[in-house]
Amino acid sequence: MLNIKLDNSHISINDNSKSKKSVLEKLASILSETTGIDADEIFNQLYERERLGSTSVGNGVALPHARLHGINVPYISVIVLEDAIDFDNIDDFDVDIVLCLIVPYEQTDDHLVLLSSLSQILDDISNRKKIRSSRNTEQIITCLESENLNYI
Amino acid sequence: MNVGILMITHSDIGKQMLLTATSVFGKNPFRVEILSVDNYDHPNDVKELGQKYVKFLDKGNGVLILTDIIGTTPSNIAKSINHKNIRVVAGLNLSMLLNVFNYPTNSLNDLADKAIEGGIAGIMKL
Repeated sequence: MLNIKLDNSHISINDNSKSKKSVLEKLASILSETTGIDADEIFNQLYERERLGSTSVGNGVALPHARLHGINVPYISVIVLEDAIDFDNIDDFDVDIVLCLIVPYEQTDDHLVLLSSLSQILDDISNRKKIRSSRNTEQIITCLESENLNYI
Repeated sequence: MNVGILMITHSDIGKQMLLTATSVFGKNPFRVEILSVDNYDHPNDVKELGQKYVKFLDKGNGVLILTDIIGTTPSNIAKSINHKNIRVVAGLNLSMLLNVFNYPTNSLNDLADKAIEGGIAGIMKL
């Protein structure tokens, strides 16, 4: 069981961001508020990862992620977009669910376990439907529950 | 869903090749992760990580592992990864990577062949 920070303030639903860049900026700003790390630093790390290839995992979902110095536990932020956007997606589905993961720099192992667990949750079409139809942030957190993950 | 690609290379080679190939091609049509291996890494630790990367990348159509030079730690790790649906190709070069980028919807076996064709086609006397 892995601990991850996720609370209502990390989630934005019916979000109006219109581009990949603005989504990454929004994620950086949300995560900066909660971690105290400079938003530019978070943005740069997420952006640098996207340069290597899109973190889109298909079916309208993207999982931007980075390892960062200055945090002790992993954090998640979730943006559900009003309108799907081009995320340099790997399939024909533009992205409207963006789940961003940042983990402490040295935790390479946990990073991958978390990515796998989150990606498994989002591979399930019923979970994606629930996330898209969520009316409030609590419902989103419920959708992301998994036996491997403990949201703190 | 497309085949996933895992690049297991010495230090920063994989990252730089991927950045260059993406920039030349215009986009990277695959889900790619990079496992860079440094001299001080313990092979068993990296192998564990490799397993996890493959599990993360396999969306049902398998994972193509590209590694740089045969007989060294990165390629040994690549060979030792246990997974039902992987192909490992060594001798990574830019020509190989660019050829692979041209066939995002091909099957794993096809893609491994395209990697080899592309890699060899890029080597010639000028």
